[in-house]
Amino acid sequence: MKRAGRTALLAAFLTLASIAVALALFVQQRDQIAVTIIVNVTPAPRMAAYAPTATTGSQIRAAFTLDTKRTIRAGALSLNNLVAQNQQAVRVEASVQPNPLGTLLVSNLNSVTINATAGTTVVVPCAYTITVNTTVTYWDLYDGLFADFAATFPGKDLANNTYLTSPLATATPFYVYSDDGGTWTSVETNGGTKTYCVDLTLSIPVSVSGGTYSTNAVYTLYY
Amino acid sequence: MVGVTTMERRGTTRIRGIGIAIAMMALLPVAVLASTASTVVTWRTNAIVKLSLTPNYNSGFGAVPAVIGAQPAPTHGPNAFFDGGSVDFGTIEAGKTYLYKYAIELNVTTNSSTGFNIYGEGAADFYNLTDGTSVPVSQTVYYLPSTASSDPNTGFSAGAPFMKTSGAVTGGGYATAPTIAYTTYPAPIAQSLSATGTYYYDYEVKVPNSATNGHYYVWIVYTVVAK
Repeated sequence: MKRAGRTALLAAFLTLASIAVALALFVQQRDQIAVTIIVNVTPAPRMAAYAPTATTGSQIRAAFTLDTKRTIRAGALSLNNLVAQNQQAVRVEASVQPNPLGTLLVSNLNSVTINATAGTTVVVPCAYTITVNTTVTYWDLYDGLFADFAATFPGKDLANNTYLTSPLATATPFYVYSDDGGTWTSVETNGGTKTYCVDLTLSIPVSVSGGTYSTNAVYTLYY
Repeated sequence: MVGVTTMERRGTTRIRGIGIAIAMMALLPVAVLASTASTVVTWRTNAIVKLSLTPNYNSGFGAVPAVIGAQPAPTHGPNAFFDGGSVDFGTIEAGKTYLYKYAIELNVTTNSSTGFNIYGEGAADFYNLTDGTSVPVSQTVYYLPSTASSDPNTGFSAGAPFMKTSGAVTGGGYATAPTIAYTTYPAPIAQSLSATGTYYYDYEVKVPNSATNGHYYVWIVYTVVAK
């Protein structure tokens, strides 16, 4: 009896251990890619209001000024307008080899650029696509932004609507890895080969200064 | 004197008159004889701009793949060496992102009291020497601010893309650094209100999955212009 009991316990232990190993093998990170989101922000327009004068009665005059990028004309058009400049160059190079994961998880674009004015909301339909290319019948796709655009420009101001054929009812703000406890969020579970459109909705706080901001939208495939 | 005629008396009188007139002229103010005018002379002093570019400026330079968590040690290709050479990522896989730490340091010195602008562009697209194909540099090569040391960036830190220049490029073969002639400058990648400045950059490369195998290169050209 005692021998039979020990044998049963050993069998049960081995069975449980096998299940644990199988589960660990079942869900693993299989691939990870990033799409760079670049935002060129134009500062919010400024308004100046003038108080009414005696001659204008109750009329209020307002003037609008817009900050725009000035294009500086270069070149020696005349001796009086020589531009002092200096130039240096560096070569960037790499030997490209095939990715052993092939096209398991790909995007149609490496980066997306959005031009917008501070204080406005911009929607970019199908800004890029994400394709999972596999015969695996069950997989889980996670997404998130690696970091905020800037301290004054949170990543959660960017929302995504990720869909196969028709956009969902609402867009969902991205998780931000560095803000949200170092986690990504599951955006899709499915099987087989699928291509998703990603609509982007960007709401830029009016306080954001003009300039270029960027972050990476990271996609991770598990199965 | 016998026989001084009337004509002789008139001649003497004339001579005496001319002499008196000459003497009177000497008493006139000098200003009546001189004239003055003025002109404005202007000149522009051209600013002096010095630029030095140092690749691989800190120990630990090189490429790391984009991973979460513990970062691998940087590696680089054979054409990169400390304080010189190229930004050589070495062997990379298509479809993956790589960060190149301590890629370049720019030192700018000018005599401009209003500062300067820095422009940085690709002279061409990312070109495959093996089969002559290209991938857009604006989708492939990126830059991001770095530090003199203790670079905190990872392969998932976001950069901004280098754009392909619309200026006139001279040179730019694999072994020949190009120059770019501008009629209109692009948007600057950095601006300074001071006369001098030092800038550190990491680079990133994301070669599309569709890129063919081979050895790729592009020249990145920096132009500093005094304001």
